[in-house]
Amino acid sequence: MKPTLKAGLSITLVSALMFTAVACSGGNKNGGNNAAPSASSVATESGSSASASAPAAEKPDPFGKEPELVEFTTGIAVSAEANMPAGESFENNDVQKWFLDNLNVKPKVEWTTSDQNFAFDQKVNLLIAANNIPDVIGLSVEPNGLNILSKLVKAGMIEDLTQVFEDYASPSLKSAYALGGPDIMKSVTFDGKLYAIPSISDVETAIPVVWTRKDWLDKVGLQEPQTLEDVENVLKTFKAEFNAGALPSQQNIYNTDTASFDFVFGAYNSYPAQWITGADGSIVYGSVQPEAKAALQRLANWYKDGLIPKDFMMNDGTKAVEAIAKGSAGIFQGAWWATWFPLPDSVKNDPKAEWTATVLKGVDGIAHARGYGNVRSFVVVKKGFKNPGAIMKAINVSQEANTKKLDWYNKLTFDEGSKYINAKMGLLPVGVSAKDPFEISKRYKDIMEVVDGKKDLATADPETQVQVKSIQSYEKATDKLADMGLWSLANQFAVGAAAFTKNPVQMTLPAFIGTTDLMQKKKASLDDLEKRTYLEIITGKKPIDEFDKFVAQWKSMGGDDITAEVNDIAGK
Amino acid sequence: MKPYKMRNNEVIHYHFMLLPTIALLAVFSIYPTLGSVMAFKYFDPVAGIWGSPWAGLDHFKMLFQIPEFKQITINTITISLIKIILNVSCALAFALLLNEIRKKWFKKSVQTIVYLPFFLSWVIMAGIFKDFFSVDGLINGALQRLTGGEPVMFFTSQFWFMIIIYLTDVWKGFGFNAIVFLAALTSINPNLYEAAEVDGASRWNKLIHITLPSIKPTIVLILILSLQGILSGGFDQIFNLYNPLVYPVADIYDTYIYRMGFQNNQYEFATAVGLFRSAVAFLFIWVSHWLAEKYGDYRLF
Repeated sequence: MKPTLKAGLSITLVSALMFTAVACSGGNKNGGNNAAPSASSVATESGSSASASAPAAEKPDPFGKEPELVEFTTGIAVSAEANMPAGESFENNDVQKWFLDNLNVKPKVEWTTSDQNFAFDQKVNLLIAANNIPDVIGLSVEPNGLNILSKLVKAGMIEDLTQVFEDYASPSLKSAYALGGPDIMKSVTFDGKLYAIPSISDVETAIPVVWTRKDWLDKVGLQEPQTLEDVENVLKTFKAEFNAGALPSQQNIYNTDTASFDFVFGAYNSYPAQWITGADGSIVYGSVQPEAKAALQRLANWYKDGLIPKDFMMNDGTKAVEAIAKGSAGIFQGAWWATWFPLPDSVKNDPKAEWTATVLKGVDGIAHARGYGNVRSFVVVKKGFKNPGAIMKAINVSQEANTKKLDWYNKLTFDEGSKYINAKMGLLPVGVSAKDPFEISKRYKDIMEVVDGKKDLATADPETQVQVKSIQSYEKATDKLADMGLWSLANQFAVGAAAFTKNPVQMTLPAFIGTTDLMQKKKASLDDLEKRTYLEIITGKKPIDEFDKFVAQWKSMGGDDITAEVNDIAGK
Repeated sequence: MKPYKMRNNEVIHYHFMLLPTIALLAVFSIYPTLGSVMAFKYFDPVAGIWGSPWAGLDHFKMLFQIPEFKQITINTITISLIKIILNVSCALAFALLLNEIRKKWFKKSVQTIVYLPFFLSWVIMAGIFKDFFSVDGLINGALQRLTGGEPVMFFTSQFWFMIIIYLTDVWKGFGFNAIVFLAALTSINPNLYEAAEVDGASRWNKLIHITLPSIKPTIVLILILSLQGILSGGFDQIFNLYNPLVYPVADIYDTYIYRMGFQNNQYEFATAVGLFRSAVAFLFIWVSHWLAEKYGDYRLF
């Protein structure tokens, strides 16, 4: 019995204190970084003190090979769908080999996380607390990347990249940023110093797209849905005809690209959990606006009528879309790129399945949607890392690769039958992409002009060429589903991006991103309250008027103070 | 245990045997405990825990201001108590029933089978139970065939959710206690039973007058030892099954600490909650030891 007792005691202690265990190890290693040559003194010399090979006098070649191997540690989020050729991994594949041979740069993966449920952000937050971040991290702005960035800057954990960017960034990357406007760099600049290399959003990627099975629509003689009423009608018809009357839905009911209710909130011009500009010009919180009430009322009705799965709050994103693969769902909300996820499984299981995509008109007849801020993600370099110039070079190449200008890269990852077309994971050691914010719909027009023969393929830009070729070889293919990668690639623009052209979309961009002191203290309780109230209203446990009670409670529990604080900060 | 009068060199090897345990405790419990000082700091990762500025009792003040805290405390204690009572009583009933069986091979195999779930991780079990109790799962399927009514929403109804928490916890855990009871049962002197048989006692009489009194110390001991875990209502289980709709009844200290610490990055606050919980847990341990000494005839110190 004695050991049991002791074990019991230790378990109590361990579980109570597991947080501090993480932080503690960091606390004691504190100073490990400071032992490295202080980077701030070096910043003005473009990090050249570290890379003795580049004399400060001559301009470094943005694509030049490093004289010595530069290894950097990093962390990545990996999708459950990832599918690499046998024996290969993020560290070991032909793309990385090119970087090793041509730039002498090599990533070393310190850890991986799931790409679900914000696991990556949580991991980074913990590592910040432990003062143990990897050399290079790529972070997305959603849900709170900019907040993490300001934390990193405040803690002095990352390099000032102003000079590195100046000296090493390629002309094409610089001009892409210039096209994006001054705000791009502003959002990653603190006190006039550039702390991260940003990627420009495809703002349209945030738009919730409604995907419907066209083959079923044709069978029952319905048009593609244009409004929420149409969606309701289609769901009811599909239930009667194909026993597929439930809308795939998951526990994250908003701000999630696949199987959430964003399209319903958007139809009412409601943006829960986002700080938006209110009618009077001040910043307000989307979750407590009257528009949200109307959307919740609609969702509650759908739930009552069985159009939403009874136990949707138990599903994560992966589980929610199982119905699509099984053929027991004929309409769902996805992103414009849903041809990569979750649609391949649907088509594999039922080759007759044909999907079409659109953006719904709102209740006022205009298509409304949430949007991303102008920065989508960014790359930061740990303070004291010896060779930020080399990272910048890798970023230069990634920009060329992401704009499809590199033949070797296209042959490996995009072209028909290429080795990694189905890999479903990023293979670049660091990923930055700076394109036009409205690139997707513009690219779609461009592609269609070439496909329809209005424009010569040779005059189109490299990425358009890649996409057009994929569409053409898909149309030529006798077995359309032999290469699922080709199916996804050809249909993402031909069907997915076409959604943005059907109804002109008005986007509402966030007016404030980040965290304030009061949010740190009070927002967790408010979020719990909000999640619970929303779910109770949708599932019919509470009447819709509970929403007004919730708003009053939210305001008195600190919501008003937080709102004032946000306006205060934004006003500065 | 009476104080030993043996010479040190006769027991020295026992001390050596303790070393690994002490080392583990030092690394995983005692050393991290120092980090609890974070609960009194405004944490700055670069300065480290020791270098961060002091916050005094700010985080603890916040603790008593948040509306959910009282509810979470009540939840934690209720859930733990009910689990302890259910676990012990089910294990006891099961052990007594199994003990009546003569066939040794049957006894052994049943014992092993009920003990098996103890080794499965809650992450896997939660996935299985979610399917099991889902709207179109096995249980609802059976209910529909029997009654034909609406499916029961096990996971969103606060009442049913708690029933599932208790049921699955007992199912997973009672095998362990049952083995302890079975061991206690085998150590009862068979002469007692034989004597009772001669006096014409029925099975029931034997159970009431011989079996239960003989294993009373074991029962008391298990109950008392369970008290230590009173403030850990089973994080793995609840975390893997719950959702916002059942927070009001299912949220316990550990799940709350997790949400605050890992999801909202309020490490100092989460540490304060953890420290508070540890203090209360210490009180319980102390009381349970006192009880153990008084009623279980069992002493540790």
